[in-house]
Amino acid sequence: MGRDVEQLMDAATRAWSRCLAGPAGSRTAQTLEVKPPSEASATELMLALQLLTQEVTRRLISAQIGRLLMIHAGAVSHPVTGESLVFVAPGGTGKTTLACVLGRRYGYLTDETVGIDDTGSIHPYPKPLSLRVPGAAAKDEAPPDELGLLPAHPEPTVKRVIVLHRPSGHASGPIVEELSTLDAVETILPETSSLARLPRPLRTLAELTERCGPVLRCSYAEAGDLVSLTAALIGDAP
Amino acid sequence: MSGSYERTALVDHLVIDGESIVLYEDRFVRLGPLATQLLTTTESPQTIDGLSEALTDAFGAPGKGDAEDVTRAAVAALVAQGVLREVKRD
Repeated sequence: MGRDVEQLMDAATRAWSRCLAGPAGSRTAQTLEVKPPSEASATELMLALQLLTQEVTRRLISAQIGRLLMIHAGAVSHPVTGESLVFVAPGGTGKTTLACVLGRRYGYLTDETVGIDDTGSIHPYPKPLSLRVPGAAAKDEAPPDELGLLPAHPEPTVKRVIVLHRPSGHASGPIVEELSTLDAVETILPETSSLARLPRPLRTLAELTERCGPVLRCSYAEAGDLVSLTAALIGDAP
Repeated sequence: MSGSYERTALVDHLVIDGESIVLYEDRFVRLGPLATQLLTTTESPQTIDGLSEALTDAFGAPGKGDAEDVTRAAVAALVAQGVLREVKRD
């Protein structure tokens, strides 16, 4: 193994520490080919890790089509009860930042895609967090362990769902609005993956919003502003 | 617009309190009460007359204008959205 490959393997193993499978998992895993950095620069390594994260996420979503309700969202779980908050948001609305802030108090489940089965159980995807680095061409794929994020509860379930909205110029504290079931379904639909491939897709989404409702739309400015809302929704962190 | 109309192939349709969302393979559409009634009535082809009657039964006569004109306008909007399609006569 060349030094560049070794360096990539070490960095990937560290970044994906929460998702490593044992020998049994390795036997059934798909093979994913990643080009090692062409030159030994930090930027090249960051780019390779970023591509790896994107490809793993793409494969994961493909593998769960027709099985799980998949929502473009972050999630954290209460460390004792497993009751979880799912925060739905389009890219660039602060999912990763919020996962970093809440994940220091609650178990980190994911900052990207929440997979939910028909019992409301969440299938955690504790991937590295893709953090923007000012002035850098690539994002930093930060290991959750190194960010001090708590491990996920072993059996996380959806307790509440919020839809994040971060309007420019929002200067006050969070503004929270309850959504009707139909409004919630309409708002969450664009953030789902391959929903049409599930049996009874709209009813499945509607049942989730009713079971964990009301779904809230939350306009906010800073991730720290949502800590007390999270405590109100899934309980205080111990 | 003198033929019959039926709904286009859909994946799922969720109706709550008379309003609905209809899901297609690659998109979704939110429908108000009138459009929801039209969608649920057009599982098989219906004429404007038949649809107008269904809307009048469900909502009463329109406050303004002729029921058939209102129906025709609502059907045209749904055809433009790809929710309904005209069924050509042989």
